[in-house]
This record gives sequence, C-alpha cells and structure tokens, in this order.
Amino acid sequence: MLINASHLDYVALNESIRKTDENCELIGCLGQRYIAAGMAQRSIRIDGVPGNALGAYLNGATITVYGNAQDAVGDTMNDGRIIVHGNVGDAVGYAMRSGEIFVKGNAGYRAGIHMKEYRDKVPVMVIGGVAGSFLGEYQAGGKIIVLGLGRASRPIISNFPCTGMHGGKVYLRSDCRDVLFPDQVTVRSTTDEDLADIFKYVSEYCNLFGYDVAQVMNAAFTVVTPNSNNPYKQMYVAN
Amino acid sequence: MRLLAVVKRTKYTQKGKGAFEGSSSKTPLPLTAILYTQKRFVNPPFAIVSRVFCTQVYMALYSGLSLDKLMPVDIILFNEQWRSYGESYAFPPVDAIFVYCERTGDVVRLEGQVRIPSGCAVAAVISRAGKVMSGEKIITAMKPMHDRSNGLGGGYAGYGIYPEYRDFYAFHLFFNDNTARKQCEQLLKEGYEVVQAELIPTRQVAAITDAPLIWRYIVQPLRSCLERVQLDEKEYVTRTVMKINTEHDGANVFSSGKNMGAFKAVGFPEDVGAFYRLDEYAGYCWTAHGRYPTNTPGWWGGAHPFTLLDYSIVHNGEISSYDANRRFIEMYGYKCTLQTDTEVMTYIMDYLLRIQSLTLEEAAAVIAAPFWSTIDMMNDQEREKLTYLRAVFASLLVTGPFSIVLGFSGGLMALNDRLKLRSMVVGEKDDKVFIASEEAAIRAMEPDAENIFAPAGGEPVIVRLEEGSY
Repeated sequence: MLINASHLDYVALNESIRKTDENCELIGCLGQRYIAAGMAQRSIRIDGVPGNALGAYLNGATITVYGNAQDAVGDTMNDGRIIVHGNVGDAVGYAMRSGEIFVKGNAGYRAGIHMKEYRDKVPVMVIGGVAGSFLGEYQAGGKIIVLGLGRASRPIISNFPCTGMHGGKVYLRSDCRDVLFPDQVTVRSTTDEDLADIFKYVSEYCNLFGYDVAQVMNAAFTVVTPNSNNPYKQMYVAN
Repeated sequence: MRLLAVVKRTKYTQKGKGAFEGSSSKTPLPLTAILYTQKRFVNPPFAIVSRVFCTQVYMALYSGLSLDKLMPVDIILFNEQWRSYGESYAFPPVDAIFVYCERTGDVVRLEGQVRIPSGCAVAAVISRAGKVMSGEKIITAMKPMHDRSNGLGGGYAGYGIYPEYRDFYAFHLFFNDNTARKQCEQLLKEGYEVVQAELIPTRQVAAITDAPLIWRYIVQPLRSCLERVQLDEKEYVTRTVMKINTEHDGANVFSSGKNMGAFKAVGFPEDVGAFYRLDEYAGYCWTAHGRYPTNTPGWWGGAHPFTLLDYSIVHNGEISSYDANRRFIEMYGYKCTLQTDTEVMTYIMDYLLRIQSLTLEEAAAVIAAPFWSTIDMMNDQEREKLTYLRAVFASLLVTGPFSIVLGFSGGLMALNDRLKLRSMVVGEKDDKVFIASEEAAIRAMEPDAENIFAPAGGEPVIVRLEEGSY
C-alpha cells in the first residue's frame, strides 16, 4: 500500500500503517517519529527522511530506508531487519536485543549502546562506513561490525569506543593502530573463526548495497571483546 | 497554549482538612508549587504560590471538586524541590498533576506522568553570499520538529534585518505595563539618541496569548555620555542592558545588537514566527528555537534566543555547570536574570569573544573543552594551547548536554557539547548552509540539501559571510 506521508504527523502516519496488514511504501516522509514501532511480519519501504526512533521495539518487520535516517534507529528492537541506504544519526541500535541493522554509510555517536543478547537472540549491526565516538558503549551482547568503506585516512571509529563494555563483540575492518581502546577490553586481530563468524553478515551487507564481498573481506580485521581479567567494576563512582 | 488550572492530590489531603487550614506564612507550603502567572508579565515571572492561592487550590482538592469547579488559577509548576530563586522549599510528593488547557479544553497530565516526546529544537540558515531571506524559510524548518517543543517557548534571531539602521543599536524590550515602559524610556533618553521608538508589529495568533508590551528602540549612545564614563560603545550598551534587566521591574531587554533582532514568545515556534510577522523581515542569517523547558519556567523572557549585543544563542540541552559558570561570569559584570541556563552561555561567549578577544575556535575549546585524554593525543602546539585554555578558563567549561547555534554579525557557529549528548546536523546548498537538530528540518528548508553531516562533539562549525558580501 502506498502512503503519502507528506502531510501526516507521526500519529496519523503510524495509524495509517497499522490500519492495514499489507506491506507499505511511504513517500514524502519528513521527520515523523516511531515509524513502524513494534511491528511484526511486514515490509515497510521509506522514501524521504524518517524521524527519530525509526523501528523502535521492532518485532519482526523489515524496514528499508532509501536515504538517511535520524537518531535512535531500532531503539530496543526485538526482531526483524532495518536497512538504511544512507547514514544514520546517533544511538543506532540503542539497547537492541535481536534482529539486524544494515547501514550503508556512517553512524553517529553511541552506535550499539547497551546492545544485549540472550541465548539465540543475538542482535547484529553492520555499519558500512565509519562510526562516531562511544561505539558499543556498555555493550552487553550481540555483534557490531564496522567496515570503514570509503573512509580514506579517517579513523574507522572515534574516541572512547567500547566504554563500559561487558559482553558481545565489536569487529572493525582496520588494524586499529590509530584507535585508543580502554584497558577493560581485549583488542586483537581476527582469527579464521572470527571471520567465519561475521562472513554471513558482511556478505549480506555486500549483497544489499552492491559491494564485492571477497574484496571487502580481503582486509585486516580487529575484534574487541570485554577483558575478563580486567572487567569494568566501577565506571564513574566507587560503589 | 494558556494553562489555567491545576490539580493534584498530595498525601496531605489524606490527613484531613485541618492540614490546610493551619498553614501560616512560616509553614513550608505543602505543595511543590510555583505560581507562574502568564496573565501579567512580571520579572521575575513567577512567585511562590501565595497562601491565598494555596488555600484555594488545596480546599478544592480536598473537597474533591472536579476540575471545572476549580478556581481558574494560573499554572502551577511542580518539582521535588525548587531552589532557583534563593529560597528552598521541600514538598511532599504529588500523586498526580493535571493541567487544564483553556484553548483546547483538554485536561492533560503533566510530563513525568505521561511521556511527552520532546527535546528542544534548534535550526539555522545562513547565506554565505549575504543574500537575504524572509523569515518564512526558518519557520518552515521548525514544522517537522514541532514535537520537540511543547509550546512553552519559541523564538528567532534574524541578522541583516535592519539595514537602514545598520549603525544603530536595535533594542527589543518586553514591558509589563506602560509605567515600566516610561521609566525605561527615561533611562534610554538620558544616555542615548533615540532615533525611533515603536511597538514591534505583531499579528493576532490564537495560540499566542498574554503578550507583554513589546517595543523596539533604534538608538545610538550619546557621545557625551561615552566620554564621561570612558567606556567603549559596546561595553556601554552592555551595561545599559544589565541595568535594565536587573533594576527595572517589569522591563526586559531581549535584543540589543546592530542590524539584528531577536523575536521570542511563549508558544510553538511556528506560531511565534507568525505572531512577529517574520515573513515581513529579510535577513542573511536566521536562527530558531522551539522550547521544551525542563526545570525552568516557560515565560516570555525565558524563551530563546538569548542575546547580548550582536550575539544570540539558541540551545537544546541543559547546563549542569550553570551555577559554576554563573558565579564566574557574574564577577565580570554580567547578571543572570532570566531564569534559564542558556542565558549564561550568551554572556560567556560575549566575555570570551569581545572582552578576551578569543577566536571562535578558542571559545569553543573553552566551553566544550576536549577531555584531557584527548588533549594528550594532540601534537605539542595544540596540546599546549588546549591546556592553556582549559586551565585559564576552567570555570567556563560548560558540562551537560548542549547543541547551540551562536549567531553574530557576519556569521554563525554551531557547537555540540564534547560528549555530543544532543543531535545536530549540517547541510548546504549553493550559497546557503543549514543547521538543525534533525535532517528533516534541513530538508524542509531545502529538499536538495547536500553534504549532510553531523559534527562531532566539541567540533565547531563556523560559517562566515564571504568578504564584501555584507
């Protein structure tokens, strides 16, 4: 179903999506929040700029954005898939607990903050470009993969990555010599096993956005995990 | 939106009527209530709820009257503790608060009990070539960000809007009444040549109510006065602004620059723009703000932008270091009178840029100083400079979330706090640069905006007019 969002506020837009069980195609989006929040089993295609908290609590639906998205994409998402053919703002995948997010371009600050996993619920986020500061802040589970495609001389991620991390993994397509990590995480080159762990998601990324997976994988990768010998015990206060 | 009546039950109500009857002026008020009157513009804009008011409200509450039978008191704001103006009252918890909105007839719960999806909104547009735009463009930007504010403040700053008076200061003032206006005019006449004095033209807008008297004065400091007090012109004007804002009850200067002006009110920014007829002004740079006040009152003087001379600031965020910053800056003659944290940032920028002659980049490095761990990674020259700035102006480090746009004659600067706890996006198209809290706002102004990017925390984005264009 085609929905013209240009003169709908976020309440009206979301109501018109919920009114139908069909897949939806939204055109003329301009900043409406919470699009497809909590939705299961459908496909939503978006033209324009969706507002903050796109796909919050998403529960199985697939959202595709043909442009940039704003802040808090996939906030607390539970299942499903969000594909962004552009950049995303801050806090993408905030507290995400399962499902997949693929971002063709760059992510802002705090990507994957407080991502978590439980048994077979393992969230995955692939960022094709570079990510801002505080990537994987307080990460407790799941996989964050940053590819750094087209970054030239820019560092793949910015300051204070993995601060407060106590679970999950961060994969970075870089030797990371120009990145300063906290002492409470372990930083090492990937093994074949690590690469096998992410191959499926990198090939899906390449498939979605038209890259050659062999070329993308043919690079140095670094993996970051919590350092169980020196875990975060007190972040900001002694307690 | 005019908020008229209040409500709530406190635990006191369960103790019986006597709990209220006994209250004397020495008894702490049993409600976290600040009376904020929108009927009259007063400075400060609120008073602690008088005992009379309390009695009315409590009696009504106690006897369980329905909302429509409540006395139509002005809005009462609640907090666990309110310390902003010298006295501290501790209040028992409030079980529920409702506010009646006269305009819509809705009875709504207050934020905290219901989630209001808000956060302030900022936006700006500047033409590097100095081409003027009507204020309509910037109003357009605020529409998709409507839900970021809650109707308790909106405002704009326009640059290049008074070209025929470009060498004069344009004072915009709010007055409670004509008595306050006459007193203030007397003061102005003693020190300034007043070229023009007029009501700022406004348009009737249903959503904008309880407007104070809003006047504009085009003035020039009298040469003889400047010589007598031996101050440069800008310092002289600054002192006049501080004097009026601190000593003249019921008068408030909210704009005092050359060839620029601020326009602000209680209301949503789109309504505020229509109210001030911004479509009839043309400027090369506009900034805008939609307010969602968190812990300070939503009154006319508290709306953004906050200005001094040509500097104006619109701000999304909350300054954790407000009191530390305020104590420092008040040592240099500035006085924070407007009950909103952003005000201090305007004075800080005036102090750093005008008094201390820092560059914009240096001023940004003071208020959004990099962490020491980041400074340690810099080359020797940068490290030395940043260390110097952090050490000398330690009290002007602004902590807590902010995204601001600083407007000045000939340009603007956008800046995020160093942790980047608020959003800000920049884009451009031809001669124009756009800045906003959301990309949607930029697209509303210019659907084909290019080079959209989000500056990092503490990374100033400085845009200046091309030489000769202004």
